[in-house]
Amino acid sequence: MELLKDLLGWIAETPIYGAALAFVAAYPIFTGVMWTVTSIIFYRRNERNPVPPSEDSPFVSVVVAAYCEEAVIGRTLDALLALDYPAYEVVIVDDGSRDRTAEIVRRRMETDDRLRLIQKLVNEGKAMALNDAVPVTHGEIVVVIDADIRPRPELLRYMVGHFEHGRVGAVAGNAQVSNTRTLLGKIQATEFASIVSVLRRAQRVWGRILTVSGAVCAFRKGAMVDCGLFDPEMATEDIALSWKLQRRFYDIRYEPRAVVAMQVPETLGGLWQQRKRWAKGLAQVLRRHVDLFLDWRTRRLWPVFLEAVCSVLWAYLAVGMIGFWSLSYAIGLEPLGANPVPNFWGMVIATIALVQLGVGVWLDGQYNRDVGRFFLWAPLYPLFYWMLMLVITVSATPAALLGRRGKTSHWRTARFEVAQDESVELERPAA
Amino acid sequence: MMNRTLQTAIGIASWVLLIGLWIQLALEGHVSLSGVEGAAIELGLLSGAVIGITMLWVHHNIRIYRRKGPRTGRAENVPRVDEDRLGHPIRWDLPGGVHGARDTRLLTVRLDNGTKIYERGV
Repeated sequence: MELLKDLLGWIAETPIYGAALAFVAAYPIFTGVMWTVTSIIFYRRNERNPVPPSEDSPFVSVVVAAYCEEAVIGRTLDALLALDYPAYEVVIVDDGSRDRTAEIVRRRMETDDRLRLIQKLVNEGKAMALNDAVPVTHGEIVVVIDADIRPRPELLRYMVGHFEHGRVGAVAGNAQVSNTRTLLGKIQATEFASIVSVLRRAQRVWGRILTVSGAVCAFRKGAMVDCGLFDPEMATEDIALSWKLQRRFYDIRYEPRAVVAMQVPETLGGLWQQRKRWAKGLAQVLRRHVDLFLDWRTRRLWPVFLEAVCSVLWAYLAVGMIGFWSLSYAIGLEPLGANPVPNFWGMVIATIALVQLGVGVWLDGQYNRDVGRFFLWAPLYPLFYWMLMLVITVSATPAALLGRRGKTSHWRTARFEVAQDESVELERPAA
Repeated sequence: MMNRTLQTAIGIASWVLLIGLWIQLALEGHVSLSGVEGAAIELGLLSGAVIGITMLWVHHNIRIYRRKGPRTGRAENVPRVDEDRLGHPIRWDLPGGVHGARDTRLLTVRLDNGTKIYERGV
């Protein structure tokens, strides 16, 4: 025991411990201020003078990959076929579903000519479902939407306008959480408004983003093909394609008015699986693109890459520090920089996180009036939810970095019907 | 599933906890006016630096745009129709081949001995 005390005491005196402590303390403060301030810059520059809705109406193919979506596909079809846009088709790709997904789509096809169905008799995963649809779509613009998504009617008008600029390869939409009946749903509603949306705004100011929204994104078909379409072996095909597009110097825009309602996991188990997949997908992308530092032309992606690496590093160091502190306290040693209760800078970190959450809720409140009420649960994010995300990152990253490449990624998403009275009605943006 | 009252109570409790932690820090003497001022100044300077660097970067990009004009190169690539992304050869078993498939509302796709076959659905 004395030996252990001496060892831990010695470790706490080393420069490495000091540097790790400084990084763990400073990184969330720096990034919190950076994202908050820069997202406000995006708001002032872009949201107060937004790209006008498209007057031209190039043909758009809305593609939905579906696997066992009988609980939600009907409502999704209702919303997709109600889009306010004169020239589009809706292509549902049934990826070998074992439920009534295809039957529901077929029945709907009888009443609307714009609806098409590609029924795959073999399940190859979401990426391949989308890839198999691209050659048979009509549109030069392909909007990929998840099967549980309900878009606002003006979605396409807001997204299509960006493609008038020739180098725009993709436009990310703004996914807002619709199933907020559970505590976890409410926390995620704040998270998507405040973390995802704020980060996307901030990254757009700097010119390169980490990822489009997998729930809703518009692509230029030629750009997708140029980049080899979606990668079936990647856990998150949206992050992977985003990086390929940007490495080939396509521009990815963010359109906050392109609002859709989406479902999120309502159980800890479901959330764990989803976030583990995201962490794995990010690690795979970082592994694949580490060579971008060898090309000066890709320097605009370097900050995004480095920030992503730092976020993973921070997760490991934070978990390591917590473990070290817990062990130290358990043997009666008070470690440097730690306190059983958050100290001053710990509370500053939590408060800055809350400020970021508040700014995000304010920004996205322009497009979703309901999101403001979820701020009541915002303190749960820095106090508890963050810890969960740390553990997921730490557990999922090694397999992705060290694992074998080439295995096709399949999907295992549980869908459920959203009760009518729990749906979040999405407010139309101010004119 | 937790009822709404309990969820609301948890939300309120989380704010009480957060504020309570700040109060405890103040009572224990870990929060001083000078400390708060110092933190505020540091955060203010950091925010100012972020704004300054970001605006410099934005104007750098605007200058590039004004000098070079918009990038007008447009991707005109056409999807492959001879093999899929996993390397399976594709066979179009319907009139008109891939063009016919584009005009077909109901398609089925199956794998047969490693070949991906697109057919008109029934």
